[in-house]
Amino acid sequence: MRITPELVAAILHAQGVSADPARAKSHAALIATLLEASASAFGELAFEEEPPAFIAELRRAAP
Amino acid sequence: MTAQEILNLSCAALARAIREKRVTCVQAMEAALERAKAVQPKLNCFIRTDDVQALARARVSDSELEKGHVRGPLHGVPMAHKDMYYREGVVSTCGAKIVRDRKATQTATALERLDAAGAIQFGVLSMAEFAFSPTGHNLHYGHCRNPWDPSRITGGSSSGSGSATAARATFAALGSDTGGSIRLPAAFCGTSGFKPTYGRVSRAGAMPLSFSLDTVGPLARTVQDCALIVQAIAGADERDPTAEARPVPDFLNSIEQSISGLRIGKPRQFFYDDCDAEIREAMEAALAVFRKLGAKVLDIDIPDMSAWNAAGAVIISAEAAAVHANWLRARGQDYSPQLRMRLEQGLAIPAAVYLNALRLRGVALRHFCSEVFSKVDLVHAPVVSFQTPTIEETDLGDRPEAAAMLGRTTRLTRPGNFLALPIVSANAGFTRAGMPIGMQLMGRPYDEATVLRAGHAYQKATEWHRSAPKI
Repeated sequence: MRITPELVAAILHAQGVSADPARAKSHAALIATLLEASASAFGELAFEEEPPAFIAELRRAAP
Repeated sequence: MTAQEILNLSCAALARAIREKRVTCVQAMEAALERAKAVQPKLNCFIRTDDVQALARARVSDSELEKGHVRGPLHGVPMAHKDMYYREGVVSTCGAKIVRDRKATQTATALERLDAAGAIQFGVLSMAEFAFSPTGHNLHYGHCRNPWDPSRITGGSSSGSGSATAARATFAALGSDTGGSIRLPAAFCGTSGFKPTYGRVSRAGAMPLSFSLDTVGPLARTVQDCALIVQAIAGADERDPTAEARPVPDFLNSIEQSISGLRIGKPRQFFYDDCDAEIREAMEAALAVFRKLGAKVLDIDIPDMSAWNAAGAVIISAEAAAVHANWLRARGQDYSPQLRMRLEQGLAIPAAVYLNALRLRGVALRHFCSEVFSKVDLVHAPVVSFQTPTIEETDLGDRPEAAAMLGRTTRLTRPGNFLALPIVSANAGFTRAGMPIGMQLMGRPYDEATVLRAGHAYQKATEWHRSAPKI
């Protein structure tokens, strides 16, 4: 999926927020960067991995 | 004792002087209020001081002491806090226009616990708008300024906490740390700062930014003071479901133990990428101090943190956007352009991406502990890799280049939030331009005791934390 300024503006609009076109362009660029930087790590996540595992891991790692 | 002598005391030393009746609570409060008024025109570190109420409370504290009643270890110590800790019936501006008249309907657990320990709040401090900026800028209340050079940033979001503590205008202050907001102002302003493990300190009654990452902690003159304050505010709280139930160790006792044999890791990757030479030298000098104290300093490989930083940015953006969505719709024009830009970005992050960022945290922590904390007890690193920029250089509003500046500023602090680690920040020297250099010591989850012990040992062996700006 390509994050375009038009897509971002539409998502914001659907939530009742209007972004000016210049800002929608920088929003799209930033979100695309975040998605790209995290894609490989997300790609390696196990099927069963869940958010609450973090708190369990935090407690397990305590000295 | 003169007002100047009182102001130079740490919280621990002032509390002792008050208990021993060498200083009265009123004397300490008058000194703090006078100093706050003297520095405010230059630093803009206070949103408000509550002189009449604070002096009245100081008088009550003195009369309690006369009757032999000591409230707790901070009896009579004046403090001001980041203006995001709610006190029932009182406005917390959160550095924002939107809530500038909104009175709190509850009191933050951290404030209740500091009250119970005897501390007296005399004011509230500047902060980034809704705590979502690492620079210390604020368009609504004016930029907060660095006491070492008022043309330079304080770091944020706990800008006033760093500035006022360094300027000896408060003995300590609560800050909050979601992506570095305690450690950055501590580093830029030359104070000590402490970010506890996520969940160690209750967030109840503290303004939310990102509920998965927010932590409550102090900025103070010394690491020992940080320990004293965290000891008072940590622990289970039924008002915060994420507050950890495990017992709080005695930090003040363990802090005095030797660090001989402690293993301190110096990361080979990430933390020194593009690091300023003076900062690198200061980190080497700090590590030499730890070696001299008997610690073993080991070069270590650490996992790639760039994906974790991106995932952390996803979490903070999405959660902040969620809590601000109603105001964004109804009062979007009342946000500063930069914050509005950042919140809008969060609204457009896909839900699956946000959830994957949360799913990654457990995996990342497991990996980090197995790769790093199996070899060392602490990780030592700079807080930032560059010299303190000016306010003008970083006043970028919603221009496209703002994102890169914000990302660069929090690059070395965000991994600690993503992994939820306890981290102390302390002054490790000064640049040739006279600006403080901050180091951070990261420990394994819930091992605040070791982190604080190492920071305290460093300060017992060095003098950097005693340096005060001439303002």
